[in-house]
This record gives sequence, structure tokens and C-alpha cells, in this order.
Amino acid sequence: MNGSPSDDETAALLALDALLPGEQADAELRIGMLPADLAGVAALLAEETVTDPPPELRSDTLMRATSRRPPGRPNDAAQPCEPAVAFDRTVEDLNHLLRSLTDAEWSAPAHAEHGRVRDLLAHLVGIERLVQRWLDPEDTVPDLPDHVAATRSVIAELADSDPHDVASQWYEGAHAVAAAAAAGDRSRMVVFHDITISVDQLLVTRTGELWAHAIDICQATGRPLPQLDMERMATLCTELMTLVPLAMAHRGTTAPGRAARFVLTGPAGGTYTVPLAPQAQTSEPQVTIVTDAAGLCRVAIRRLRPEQLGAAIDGDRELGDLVLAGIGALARD
Amino acid sequence: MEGLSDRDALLVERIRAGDDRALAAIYDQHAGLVYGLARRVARDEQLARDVTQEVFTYLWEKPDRVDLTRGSLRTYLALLAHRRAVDEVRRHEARRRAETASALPEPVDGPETCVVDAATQIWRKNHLTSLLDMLSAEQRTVVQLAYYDGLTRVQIAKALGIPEGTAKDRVRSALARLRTLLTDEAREAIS
Repeated sequence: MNGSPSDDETAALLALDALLPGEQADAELRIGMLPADLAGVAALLAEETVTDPPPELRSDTLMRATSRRPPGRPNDAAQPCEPAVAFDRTVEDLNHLLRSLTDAEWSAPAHAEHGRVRDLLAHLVGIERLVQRWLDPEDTVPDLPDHVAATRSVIAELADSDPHDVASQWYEGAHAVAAAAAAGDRSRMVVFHDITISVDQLLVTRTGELWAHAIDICQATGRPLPQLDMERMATLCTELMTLVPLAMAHRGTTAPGRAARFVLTGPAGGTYTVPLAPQAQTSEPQVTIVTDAAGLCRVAIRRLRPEQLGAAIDGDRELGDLVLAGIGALARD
Repeated sequence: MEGLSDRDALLVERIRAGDDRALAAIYDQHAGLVYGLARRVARDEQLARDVTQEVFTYLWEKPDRVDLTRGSLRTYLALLAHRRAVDEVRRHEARRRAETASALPEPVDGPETCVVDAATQIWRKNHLTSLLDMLSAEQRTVVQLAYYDGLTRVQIAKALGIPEGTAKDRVRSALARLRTLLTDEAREAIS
């Protein structure tokens, strides 16, 4: 029973199994996979080995670790792109999708309120017209708080048009929006229905809207759901986190003096502590929400319900649910 | 109920996302083991501190190296601590030898190296054999077949002409006996 060349490995396996009897069922699978030094570890894994470290070692260790890799960003982080780039890319993606539609697919029911695919696109034509006016500081267009009602007249106007012409109108309108946004200071505040946000935030919100409607069209026509690249997803996540206080206010569920910590997984994610009321200072978070970054963005555009997200909530559960319920409050689709 | 592996997976995901509080939580949970292992191998307070810092920093910098399909986070950290401690002892010893080379007539192994050898070599070669000799003949046979001949439980049952359940029970009881013997061994070594 001794003297074979693989003694070390076998001893390691045997020692580990002996110390952890519940693991022997898959022992065969691990033959040949365990490093030889595991024997030494296994032999030392007695409870007596556990020793309280010196108290100061905790802060020393955490400081050393975070000096090597600053906290907040994923270790394989995608760099966010400019909001204007995110909007442009999403316009091109949607245009590409529209070019692939068959005649029958233009009439597929796509949205509970807007109607068919062609009506959805007419709605977007109306939105691009409105946004161009909101971006013009000289224009005095009314706020039009109801996003759906604001474009009903345009849907009626284009109901009998060739859908390809409607698609062209939308594409030109979207490019006009991009040009108008680029013309001035992108940090200037503009009206978007019933909210006031910066031009960059408007472009990110519009990126989310176009993505949402691309999902609607793909679902209506049986296509795979469209994905955003990681750079755009990172842009959405970053802006989404800055908009959480506004979203809470818009939903009427602010929690002044309280904060939530978001741990967003995936390359587009990161760790953010956000106040739960506008103009509030970031305080010690009462709840930590760990969830997939892409999934949270889908909640933000209201193409996923918060309860479908499978988020892990640590701390004040009720507050966590309230925050997740408010994430989609600024979506306009 | 959330399982241990789920909790480990969530903590590692949080580390990937840059959540330093997750690192603090992992430290609080496992620092005793990491530090204890490092101190036991290195027999040096400062080296043990260095190893502990290095283990958690490595986890923070390279969370993708953790493979939870091969074991728990605790096992991974223990393995890492042991390897780093052995490396540190060897490096420390090499440095000490280099510094004193001219003063010594012949290079000799330092006490740290002996400790490492005791943990990783002598134990494997001698103690394991003696521990196996303390098993019953039936138990030794199944251990031989399972671990040295690489047979599955089903193959062991077929080879010995016994039901599969009996083969599993014999392996389990052999491992349980070894566990007891190993724990005694560890206690003795520590004392």
C-alpha cells in the first residue's frame, strides 16, 4: 500500500476525505486534480490551528488590499462610453433591426399602449420631434408629462404611411436629436416630460427607451432579445446609480437620511452607495443589494420586474424592496 | 435555506464587483484559520502577519482564481495560506543562509524547513502508513481499492462481491476512523 510514485497525491486525497467525510462521494473525480501540498494543509486543518490574529492586522490587511486594487469597480471592469456614443450605437442597432423586418412583422402587436410594431415606431418619431424641441432653449414646447399621450397624434398621423418611410423618419429624427444634444453644454438641464435632467442623462434615458422598444419588437417577432455591449451597459449603470434619488422622489418613496449600497455584478457593474432622497448626503447604508448589473438595467427600463431579478438583499429588506420598486420610475417608453 | 457554497459564491461575486465590505466579511470569517495556519508553518509572528495580508490581498486582486467547484472558499484560503507560508519560510531561510554563508562551514537546514518537512513529507510517508495499519482489514481493502487503485464505489462492490451500499459504508467508516486518528495526530503535534 505504499511506495507508489503518486503517494503524495493519494495521501492528500485520503487526508482531505478523512477530515471532511461528507465529500468522499466525489473522491474519484478529484484523483489527479489535487495539489500534493494539500496533504499538509489537510493535516493542519484541526480546530486548534485556528488562532485569533492580532486586532490591528484586520485594518492593515484591508488597507493593503485596497491600495493594490481600489474598491468600487469590478476587477474586469468595462469602461463606460460617452452617453452620446451609447445613444448613437443604440440608434444604429434599432435601425438594423428595423431593416430586417418582413412586411407582416410590421403589423405584429408589440406594445400594450402604442400598438403594432409600426405604431411603436411612429411613437418614436413623435418622441424624437419632442426631444429636439426640448433640447432647443428657444423653444417653448409644453412639458407634456404623459409619455404615451404625447405621441398619440403622431401615431394617428402615420397610421397609413409605408412603415419603411416611418422608419426613415425616425432614423433622421434620432440623428437630429444627437446633433442637437452635441450642439450645447451636455451638463445643461433640460425637460423630458415631467422630469428635469442633464443632456447626458437624457441621452442615457433615451438609450434605455430605444433598447426597451427593441426588446418589444424582438418579442413581437420571435427574435432573440437584443443585448447592449458592456461599454453601454456600464454607462447605463453609472447613470442609473446617479438617478436613484430622483427616481425615489418621482415615485414618492424617498427615505431622507438613509442610503442603499448596490453591488452590481458583471463587467458593467461596480459598487455604489447612493442616498435615497435628492440632494441628500451619502450616509451609512441600511441595506446592501447584490444583483446582476444587466438585470438591474432591464428593471430600470421596465422590461424585468424587480421580483424577477433574484437580488440578494442584506440588511433592511423592506427598504431594499422599496428601492428596487423605484428603479424603473424614470423609464418612459 | 442558503447553502455554504451559495454564500461563498455571493461573497466572491461581491469581491469581483469591488465590494470591500465583502472582503472584510471574508476576513472576519476566515482570518483565524489563515493566520493560524501561517503561524503554525512559519513559526514566526511577522511572517504569519505577512502571509495573512498577502492571502487576502491576493483574493481581492484575483477573485477569478477561486474555483468553488473544487472546494469551499475556506479550503481555498487554507490552501493558499499554506503555500504562501511555505514559500515565505523557504525565502526567509534562503535569505538567512545567504547572509550567513561566509560564517558557516556548511549549509544546514534551519528549524523552519524542518517544520515544513514535518508537515508535508514525514506525515505523508510515515504517519499515513501507520494510520492505515490501524484500520481493520476490510477497511484497508476498500481504501486500497478506492484511493490507490482508483476504483469507484460501484467497481469496489463488484470486485469484492458485495452490495454497493456496503462498499460505500465501508469506505465511509474507514474515513471516519482515519478522521479520528488524524485529529488525535494533529492535537499531539500541536501539543
